[in-house]
Amino acid sequence: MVCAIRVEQPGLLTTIQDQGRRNYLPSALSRGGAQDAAALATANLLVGNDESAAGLEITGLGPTLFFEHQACIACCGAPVKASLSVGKDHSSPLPLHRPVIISAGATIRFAHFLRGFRAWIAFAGGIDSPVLLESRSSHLAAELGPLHITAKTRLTLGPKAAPQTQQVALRIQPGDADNAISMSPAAMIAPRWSLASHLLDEWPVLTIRVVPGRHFEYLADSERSVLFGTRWLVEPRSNRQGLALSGPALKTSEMPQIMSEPVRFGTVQLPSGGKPFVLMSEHQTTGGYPRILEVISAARPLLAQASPESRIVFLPVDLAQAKERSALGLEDQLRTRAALKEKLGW
Amino acid sequence: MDVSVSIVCDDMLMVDFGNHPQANLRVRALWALLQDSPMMPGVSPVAGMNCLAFMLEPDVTETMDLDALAHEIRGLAESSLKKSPVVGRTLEIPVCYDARFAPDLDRVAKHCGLAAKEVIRLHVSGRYTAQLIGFLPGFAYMGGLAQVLNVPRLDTPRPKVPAGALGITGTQCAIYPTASPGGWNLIGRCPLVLFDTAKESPCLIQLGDTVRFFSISVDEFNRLWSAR
Repeated sequence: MVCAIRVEQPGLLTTIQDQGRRNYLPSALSRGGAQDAAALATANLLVGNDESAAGLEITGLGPTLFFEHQACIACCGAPVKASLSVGKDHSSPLPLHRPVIISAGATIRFAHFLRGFRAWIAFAGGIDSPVLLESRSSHLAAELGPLHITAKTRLTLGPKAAPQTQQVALRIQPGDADNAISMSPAAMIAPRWSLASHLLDEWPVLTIRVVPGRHFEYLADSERSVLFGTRWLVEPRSNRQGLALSGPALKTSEMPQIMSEPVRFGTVQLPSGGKPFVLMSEHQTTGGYPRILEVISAARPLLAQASPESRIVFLPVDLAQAKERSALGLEDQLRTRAALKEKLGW
Repeated sequence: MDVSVSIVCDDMLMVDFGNHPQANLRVRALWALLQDSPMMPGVSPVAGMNCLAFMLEPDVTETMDLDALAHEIRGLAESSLKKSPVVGRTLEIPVCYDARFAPDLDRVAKHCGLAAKEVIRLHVSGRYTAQLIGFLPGFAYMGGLAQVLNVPRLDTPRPKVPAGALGITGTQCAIYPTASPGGWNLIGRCPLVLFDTAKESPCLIQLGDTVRFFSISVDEFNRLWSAR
């Protein structure tokens, strides 16, 4: 049997994403994929998928999904308001950061975000859409993959959807009041526990840790103070390719002429207008603008939560601190895996 | 030649050959060396015009000794100085220079003090080297344009350049693989697919390839375009 989900409302921007395309940088195709690849990987682990399985990235305002069959999902990332209902019955909130078994015939309405801008929904079995250049992810900037989920989209799940869902169901017995929460009529079953989520404490300000970029040295002291002292406003034209920031223009007259050089997710460029531009996962692979900052690897997931009207503060750190942060991220990941092994057996 | 190796971020290192006239040649020599003896898994080289970056995957970033990796990369960069650059394939690529596909040809001709036909003749007679793959998937910056054809970019880039458009600026030419914004001076159009997602190596033109162009008629263009 093929498990399927019908999209009834697409939301603001809903796309199929996975871990992206790692092998095509020399062809000038950036990795793309989930803007917070770790959050999607975690959502996948929660439903028993391989980390590389495809799920949905939801942005700003989420979609409405109708479940034609029973399925197991997990939603990770920013806290999104979402309600679950069957038929005309009253709805209840969708629990986040844990596996949730959704009954056949149920509808989930993802609405706005309480904080942040993006979340990732994994489905047991993964979304079974066509693979293009080793990935199912939509790369909007390169126009690869299905460019938009629309109200007519029907998402089919991989062949392991049903057995994986059964496996989760065995672990979270609805009769066990300590272990599971359920609704009447049962639209869902979910465990009481959830994974911790500690992003977005200062919302709508995002403190982004950075190291100086290759051309930082050309910025005068006065410009450096402005760079680090400003709460940069994220402009509405920002997208999966990059974040355009607005604030006081930095003086660029001392900046050198740059030949195109490789850039990556997290590179902060300074075009001649003097407003920093932060590259996101669908960035161009090379760039000819001076690069004033580089966002450390551990801070990139936070960039995914930059919504228009949120503000970014750049916090300079050194490489040792960057390494420390990424080591903490690794520890966190290992803890999550250990916890899932205990709770779910994988 | 000066070679500098720097740690750009906790998951990116860079070899920079500076602004030396041979810098791009050296980038391609290092690229060739890395094709013969690849880096450890999780460390991917990406070439720029005068520099070459190494991107680390998340699974190696946490545990990587960046100073040791920088040292290893310096060794590779230095040994590549003795190596010749990658000699790529030679490609013959059709271009239709008809006025309908060459909105900037007359202006380029005027700027260079040449007849439009002479601009085309000079372009067709050139041999070009793919110096950089960047900007868009499959977009090759090809060096070797005749000095006399040196024109600046458009003051205001076009919001949309059609797929296949052939542009020139400075001493380079390039073909836009897909419709995109573009600021190069358009003098023709190529009917071939430049980035083919069905292929394992999707780029028609790869780093270090030698490219020659030949002129085709509008009919021939249409025939090849409809076969895409």
